[in-house]
Amino acid sequence: MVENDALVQQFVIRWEAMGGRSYLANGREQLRRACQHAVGDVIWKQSSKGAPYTVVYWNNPDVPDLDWSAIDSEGVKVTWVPWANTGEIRQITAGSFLGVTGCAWAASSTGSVALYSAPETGLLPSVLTPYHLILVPRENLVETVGEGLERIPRNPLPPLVKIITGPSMTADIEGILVTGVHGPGQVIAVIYEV
Amino acid sequence: MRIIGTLPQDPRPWSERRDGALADTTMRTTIGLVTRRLHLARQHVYRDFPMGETDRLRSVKDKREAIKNLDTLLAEFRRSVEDHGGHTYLASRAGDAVDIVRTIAKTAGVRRVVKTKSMATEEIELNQGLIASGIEVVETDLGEYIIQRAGEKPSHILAPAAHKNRAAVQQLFQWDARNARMEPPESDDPAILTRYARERLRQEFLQADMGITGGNFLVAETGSVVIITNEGNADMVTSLPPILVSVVGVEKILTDWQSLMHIIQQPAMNGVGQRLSSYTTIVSGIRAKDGVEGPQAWHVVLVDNGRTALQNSRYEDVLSCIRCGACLNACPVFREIGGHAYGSVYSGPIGIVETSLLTDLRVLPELSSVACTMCHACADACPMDIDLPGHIVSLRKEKVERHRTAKGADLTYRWWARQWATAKGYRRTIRMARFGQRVYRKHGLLQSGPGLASGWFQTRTMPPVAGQTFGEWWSKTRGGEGNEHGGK
Repeated sequence: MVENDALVQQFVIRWEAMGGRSYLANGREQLRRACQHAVGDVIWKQSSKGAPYTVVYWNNPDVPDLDWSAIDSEGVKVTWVPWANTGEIRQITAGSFLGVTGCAWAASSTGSVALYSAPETGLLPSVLTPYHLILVPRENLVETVGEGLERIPRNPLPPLVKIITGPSMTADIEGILVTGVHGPGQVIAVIYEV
Repeated sequence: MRIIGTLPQDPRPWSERRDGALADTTMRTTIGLVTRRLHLARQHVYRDFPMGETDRLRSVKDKREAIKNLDTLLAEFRRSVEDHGGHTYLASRAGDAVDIVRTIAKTAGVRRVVKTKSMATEEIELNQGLIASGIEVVETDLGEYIIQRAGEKPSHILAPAAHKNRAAVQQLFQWDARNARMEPPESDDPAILTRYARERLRQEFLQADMGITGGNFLVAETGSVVIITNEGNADMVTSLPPILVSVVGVEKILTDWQSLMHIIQQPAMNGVGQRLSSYTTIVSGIRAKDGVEGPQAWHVVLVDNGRTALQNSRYEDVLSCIRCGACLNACPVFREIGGHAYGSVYSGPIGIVETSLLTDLRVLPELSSVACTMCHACADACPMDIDLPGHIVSLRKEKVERHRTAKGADLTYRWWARQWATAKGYRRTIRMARFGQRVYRKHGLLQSGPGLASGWFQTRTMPPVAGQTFGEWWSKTRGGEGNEHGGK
């Protein structure tokens, strides 16, 4: 679909302009390979920090089941923890290096993705980890943030909605841009179609 | 009844505040750089994203209308929040707002609070109020954290620590690390200093009993508080602590979700020249029973502190301000003196206007005269079309009419105006100046003057009044010969 192609293109341009990284995947196998590559890449970047590598991921339809626990990086052991509403998940997420989530929609003209807080779609994997991998199905793309806001269910509204437009950043010291101040320093979007 | 607001006030007189700022080269370099860069970025984002302008015009209209219906919308907002399990409070005065937050904290046995950046809480001096009650308050915006550690005030709405260089920040963090028993940052590289802050504040987020945020918008229809940040600290503060308190000025109200759709990009576009900030967080309710994130208890404190008094006045449009900081970045005076010299919480053109208006000219009434060159750059920059220069002129006038200017200045200007109202009076002052100038003359130039005039000479000199002025020469040589220029 041409229209959707244009949205994808625009999204990638804006997302990367804000400092995000992106992958395009067509079909399940490409999606899996993209995720595998993204995970390997962030582990490589983290290598000085040492193991263990824990990933918290949404275990719901927003994140396709790719047999996540089989994804590792050249022999580096990765522990995959599904998001669940348990007391420990907070500490586990705080100690993880990567959060994997889906998104409710993505706006191409600003390069933004939106997440709604619900028991099975927690926001903490997008907040506490130094890296955040977001799976964006092509059909979730809209053009403007306004269109996205219109999609949010109103009765009732999700208690927390979060729109992410790039990595966590600050320029508070001498006006110099630094990423990863509180939230993820790198955000990676995989735009896919299965 | 009109409620007159209160604002914190620097006890130093303007001359000291101004000279202090002008002598601070770190602050001037950083503020100069940051303001010019943000100002340019703002122009670029509008050029590349024309829809932003359509949205802006629509938002100006929406915001004006919302302010007209403020009372109704606040009632609707409160109902909506309460329907979703939150609590709301309306604080008429700054002190009331502090009392409300303190009571919430005390009742829940709160000991540690994490905060996002909020001008409203600076305005009511909430931190001091909580700390005095034995509650630990930690600012989590990096710039705010730096100045909190240093015991200072923000110098820019969006870049609060712009007056500190990396060496000063490293020194502060080394001291902070000792107290927190952490590894100090190993260099003054901003990336390393930021990483230190990340690790340091992470513990605070996870341990805090209560989070406090400000708010960029309140949506009456849905009972939502919208918070915009680039760092992501609002996401921590809204999702981790069990209690969330949002302290927001009443004027942040929007009628409905539709209005939010149009205005949501404006703070980032105008403040930092981005289409949207990194994080937009919308809070509309409390944590689900079996949930692990979001607040279990949510309190929204709506602060008036002199705002509603501006309704139906010529200054009503001031209540449309979205605190983007565009007028600060455009202002040639702000670019030189930074925020501290203004002496209260709000600085730049909007600071001049709001400090005087919220407090009915009781706090720092000199601002409209001393901190504006009437260049109108702020009027061009303001996305909400607030008539900032018009208000500044009007405040100058009001100040004189209500005798809020210094007595000496008032008498001097009145006398001067009376003299120069006639040619005769003008010539009389010239003769007086010629007589009096001997005391102030050095190296052939006037170096100072009497009374108020001495201030003018602090940065300037002036040629002395000539032994014979042109006017005097004219009337002597051509006067009385019937030519049309007269000279009588």
